[in-house]
Amino acid sequence: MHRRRFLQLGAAAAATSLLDRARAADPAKGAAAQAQMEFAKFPQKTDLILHTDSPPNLETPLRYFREDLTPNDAFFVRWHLALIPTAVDVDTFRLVVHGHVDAPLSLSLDALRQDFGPVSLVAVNQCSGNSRSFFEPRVFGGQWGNGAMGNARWTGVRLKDILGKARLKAGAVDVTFQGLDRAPLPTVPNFIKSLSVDQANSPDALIAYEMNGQPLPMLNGFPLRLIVPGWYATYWVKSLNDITVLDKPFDGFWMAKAYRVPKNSEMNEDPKALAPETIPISAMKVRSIFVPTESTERAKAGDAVEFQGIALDGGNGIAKVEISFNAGQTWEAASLDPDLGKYSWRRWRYTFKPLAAGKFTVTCRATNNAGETQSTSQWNRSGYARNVLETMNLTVG
Amino acid sequence: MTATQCILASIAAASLTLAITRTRAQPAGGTGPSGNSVRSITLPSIAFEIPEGPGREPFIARCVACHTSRYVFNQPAFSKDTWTAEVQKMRKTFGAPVGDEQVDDIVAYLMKVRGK
Repeated sequence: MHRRRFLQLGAAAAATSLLDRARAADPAKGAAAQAQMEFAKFPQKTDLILHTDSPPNLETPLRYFREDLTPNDAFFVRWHLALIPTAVDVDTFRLVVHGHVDAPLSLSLDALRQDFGPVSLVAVNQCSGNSRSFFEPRVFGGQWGNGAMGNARWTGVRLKDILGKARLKAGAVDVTFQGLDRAPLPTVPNFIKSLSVDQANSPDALIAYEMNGQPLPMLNGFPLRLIVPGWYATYWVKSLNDITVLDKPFDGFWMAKAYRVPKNSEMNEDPKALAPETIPISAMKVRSIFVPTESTERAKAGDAVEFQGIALDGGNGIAKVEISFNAGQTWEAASLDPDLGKYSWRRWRYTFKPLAAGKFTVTCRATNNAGETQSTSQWNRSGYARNVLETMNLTVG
Repeated sequence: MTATQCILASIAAASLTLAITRTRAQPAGGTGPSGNSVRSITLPSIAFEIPEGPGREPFIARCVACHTSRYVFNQPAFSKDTWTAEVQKMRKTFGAPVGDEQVDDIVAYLMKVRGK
């Protein structure tokens, strides 16, 4: 059986397909690129890939994705504005809820813990621009590899419970969220995001005060962070201290002008003919990536090699992950690790035994419980929502 | 005071605020003015040598006030049209304090360091 597979692999080497059109993210290439990258150690963080220092934008090296929950000190960091919070007085800090409500709130951190039941869930936090550097033609923005995401257990209170206590008035439309960060110039819009009232009242949206059982690192949003599981991280407002309920749609810069994607299910457009209509980015698209392990880094003929990776989507949950050794002509099922919840990423594994030295190109493909799967080619002007099939080059020595 | 001077003054004020914040910051878990209740960090300053080239001075004065030059040096190479559009986006969308007369110099610098 192994011999047969090996022969198939040899034949596959020359195969071409749609995959060749996309510049697939090769972790080996990523590792080479990372070798040239600068690393930096920020407070409460381990050495991370430095994109910018002011404001801090730091990427998680892929090896940390061998763990199901990303350690807090290795979790990626992404801030937009130059003036970020570096000090919080936990006694005087207040989360205010106001606007189109009957009972405005000003909640201390103690009140949040004491007056509302704690809720925990595991969820992937993924930057809209994760993997942007793999788009071709290249686009402006943080040139992230695959490390602008992480998976954590978030503990806090339900947003809907807070909104319930504030008693929204009839006619409430949108809810806005702002943290302690500020723009460096009056002309630069402060970072404010919005959810519809319906979305804000979804049972799984949280205001988290813990991440993996610990207070959030300052750079990940201490003391409170909005958790919108299944949606891209742009909505997960850090150092959240202001919730405003509006009786009309929110038209602030960070919803109306930024973080928008072409209005089609693939979030695709042609570089030469941009989509006429855009909408705010929202739920994450299904995707899977390889996570390099010692097994794939030191593959030897005759020894079993375990491919491993993670798959995620916008909250339907992962149904299956498949592997192809022939550029997508045939697929074989990978095994899935235990499910940590529909918003968590899901680890997959696939073992095979190469009988001789050589080079293999392997593709992984995830499908979610709604039957959605990955793109074979994709581009949009801002480099968002990347979910193109990825390949890994394996060298067997 | 011209509009540009006014904006530069506000950048200076903002930078000063940031500097004060950084100076006041204590090590994580340290104590602050109100006892043990302040949690704080001190952000590192990570040196970056901005290469020489025509337009370097306006680039530093007008762009790096708000964001590190790493934003530029991390980008792939782009065409002159693309860089010009990006400078205009920074001016018009984010209110960058770049006067009409500085656009050409800044674009020339961007083309030198990340042009194609």
